[in-house]
Amino acid sequence: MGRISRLPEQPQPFVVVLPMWDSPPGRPLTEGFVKKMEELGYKEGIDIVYKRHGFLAPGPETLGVVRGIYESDLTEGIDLIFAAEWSDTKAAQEATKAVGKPVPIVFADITNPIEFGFAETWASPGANLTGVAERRNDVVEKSLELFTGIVPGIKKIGVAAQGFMLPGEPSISYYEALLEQAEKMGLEIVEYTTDVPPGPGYREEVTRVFDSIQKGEVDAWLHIPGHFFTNQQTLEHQLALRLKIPHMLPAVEHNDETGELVGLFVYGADFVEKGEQAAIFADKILRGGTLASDIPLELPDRYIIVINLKTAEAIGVTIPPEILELADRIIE
Amino acid sequence: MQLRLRTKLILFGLLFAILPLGAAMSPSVLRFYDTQRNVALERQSRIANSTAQEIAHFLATQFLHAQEVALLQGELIQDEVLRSIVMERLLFKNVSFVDLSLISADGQEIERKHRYRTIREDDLRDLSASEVFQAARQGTAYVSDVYFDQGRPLFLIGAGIYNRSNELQSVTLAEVDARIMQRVVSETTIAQGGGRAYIVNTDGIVVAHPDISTVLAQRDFSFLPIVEALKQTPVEMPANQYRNELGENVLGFGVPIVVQFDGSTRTPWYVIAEENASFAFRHVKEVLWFSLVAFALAGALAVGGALFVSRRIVRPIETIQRSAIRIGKGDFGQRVTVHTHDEVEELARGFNQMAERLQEGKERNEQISRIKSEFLSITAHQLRTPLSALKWALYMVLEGDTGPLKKAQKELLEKGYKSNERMIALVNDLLDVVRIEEGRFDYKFAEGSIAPIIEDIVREIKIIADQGGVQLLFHKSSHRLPMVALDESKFRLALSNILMNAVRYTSPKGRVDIELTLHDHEILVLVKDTGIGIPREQLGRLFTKFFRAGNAIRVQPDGSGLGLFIAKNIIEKHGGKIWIESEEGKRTTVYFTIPTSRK
Repeated sequence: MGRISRLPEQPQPFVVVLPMWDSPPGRPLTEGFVKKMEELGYKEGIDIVYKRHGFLAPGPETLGVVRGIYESDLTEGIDLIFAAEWSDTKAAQEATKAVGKPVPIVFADITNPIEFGFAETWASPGANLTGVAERRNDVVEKSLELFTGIVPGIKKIGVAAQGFMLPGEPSISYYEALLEQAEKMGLEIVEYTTDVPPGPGYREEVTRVFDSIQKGEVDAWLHIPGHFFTNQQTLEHQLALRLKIPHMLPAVEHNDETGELVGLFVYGADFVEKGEQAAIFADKILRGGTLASDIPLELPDRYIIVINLKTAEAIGVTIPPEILELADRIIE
Repeated sequence: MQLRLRTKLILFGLLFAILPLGAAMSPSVLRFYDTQRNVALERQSRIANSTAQEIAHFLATQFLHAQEVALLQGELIQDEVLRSIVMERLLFKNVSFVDLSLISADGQEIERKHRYRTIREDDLRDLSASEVFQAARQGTAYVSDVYFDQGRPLFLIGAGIYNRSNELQSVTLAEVDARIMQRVVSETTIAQGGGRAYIVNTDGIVVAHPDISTVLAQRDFSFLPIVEALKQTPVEMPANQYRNELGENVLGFGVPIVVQFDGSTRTPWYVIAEENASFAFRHVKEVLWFSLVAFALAGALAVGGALFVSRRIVRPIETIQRSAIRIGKGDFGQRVTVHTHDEVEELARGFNQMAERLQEGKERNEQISRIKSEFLSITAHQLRTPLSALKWALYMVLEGDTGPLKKAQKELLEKGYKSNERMIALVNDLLDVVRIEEGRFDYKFAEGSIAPIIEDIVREIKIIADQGGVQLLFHKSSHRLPMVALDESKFRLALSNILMNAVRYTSPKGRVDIELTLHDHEILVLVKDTGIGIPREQLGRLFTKFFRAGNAIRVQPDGSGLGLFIAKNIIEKHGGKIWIESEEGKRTTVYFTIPTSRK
């Protein structure tokens, strides 16, 4: 009562499957999750064993592969699935139904969970899924307001749309919210598309599209979450630097190879923190024996404003002091 | 219930060791329990109050943050750009604010900032009828209850901004993320160690808890006695031990949260601090353990002392007791050796002297008994030969071998013959008794059936019964009786004695019934007569040698008083039992059994 109770003594350590996507959410969420689990007393190899399947490229065509992996894990025997976002949560949900083993699934980055059938209500999820979820539209609205306040005069915002975005979640709901809010705010969303399917030569296509964008075509760039090409945000960052335009991301992600934040502005949740938050769900299930269906969904603990002054300097933008004052984190 | 002396000594030892100790310790333990309970409640009171103060302080701080907008008084408030910047800054600098509004003195929202949404002109509301605005007009601060918006617990705070003349200038309204209160209760809980603190609203719904899931699930704790009591009477109060939602026994203390801002503002929330009873009373538990150890030691000492005393006193007494039991069983050679140099040794000496006397008495009795038996034996043998000779002589004379007899002569000789027969029977009985007592009444057991024997004897005795006008009836068993081990001649003798008694002591027109029934492992024989019966006080002596009941002597002056003694010995040698029920002047029933399983 009020203290961390001892881990239940059991002959075998808990077996937990970690996220499979090599998208930005996957890694920081996993980092946060594993770190927090360790803080909660789960020593890897002794109290808990993580199944790391290596990161896969996200997409509908890999949904079946991931589901197959989960089904195989479920057959072997696992205690919990920690899923990152919509795609692997969906795959895990389908796998548990197909195998008939309602192993608890904790997700960390789901948007509109009720709408997409991951929970019945926020207070009572009702099935074997629970975790950290968001209401994306609210954040999109405020993000745009704050972002356009950084550089007055932004009218056209470029996005990598059709052909770059994953056809399902989370990109669709974000994209729709973006269009809706942009219209309200009188902003023009300039969409860049491609017909080249993901696969060999796709990186070159992404580069070609971005290289084709000329200065003056757009006033700013916005990253839409849920995309085929893993390092799209890094290429977008390079595009923004070349065009000297502000670049906004929807969440705090370790976006480049060095783990450093790319872009100029972020208003969203920190994925490491969301991973940590998800670990508390896992602990309630593993240590406390609580059913996933009985643990209410949670919003991210906080949304933060991050401003990258290095990027600002590189594109020659001076961040207004009233915006800087609002920032929770400033990268200098 | 009989208890051994050694057991009694141990029990007394335990009683005298533990009772005074218990009497001495119980009040102290009870006082200590009370003290610990009071200390725990005081601690919970302190924690509940400090948590309530923390929350109140937090709320007061939120009010102050919200009222920083007062900087915009006068002309500044008209500057929309400045107003927007200040409000946005206030909103984002306070991590718990979700929505922040500035309301004019006539209740119109003039500026509003939201953490997640863009507020446009048409999002501004008329709040003139709102509770917050009405409260501000009355000069009080406002705190709403917690409400939920898709997984987010929120509440409103609002307060008026007044000029020096105490006129309402504007009102600030903030929507606060209630999860912030979780930090306060979590920190309290962590600091508390053995307990926790949480907050419920006036409906008993949890609004802040160390486990945020409890809040988000909107758990209703109205079933807890402390919550129920606070709902009835919202004042500081302790609670007796109760079982919380986790099933733990806890001590609780509840406190309403009152914010000191614009006077006192009562919130719709109560802080409850709980401490696990096992943690609160851990010292009592230690004392109880110590007491138990003390009791165990005292008990061990008492048992050890009792065993020592028993070795000194009880063991010699037990030795004497064992010897007394053996003497009681006839082993008069028993003697005890005790060297305790006290009264017990004297007791042993006295016991040995008594045993000596008993042995001498026994030997004397045996000698007398032997002489008596020899006398009886010799007498019986010596009598039997002339009586037999006399029998044959009289028989021959009566049969006319010495010539015809006159009627009077014949009658006289017949009386003499019958008397001689009785004498022979008496001598036979005496000889049987002597053989029984000397153990020479040899039995030769063989498998046989009881019913034909009884039938045969009944036939013989029926002649005598008929002569006496007594109806003698044999009721055969409806079951097929099993064969039993018996000495037929001895059994005949026993049954004859019993039946003859029944017939002899039953008046004419009376009846004697013989019944035979099969039970589990034995055959039961009943001989019921409607005779003179036996006086109740003489029933116990019926099976002793030479005993005849007083009314029997009056009816039949002649008789040896040996028949039932012999019958009893025979029946018991067959493994059976014999007993008599009788009602003087009405009836007598002799019961005896013969086991069916005797080999």
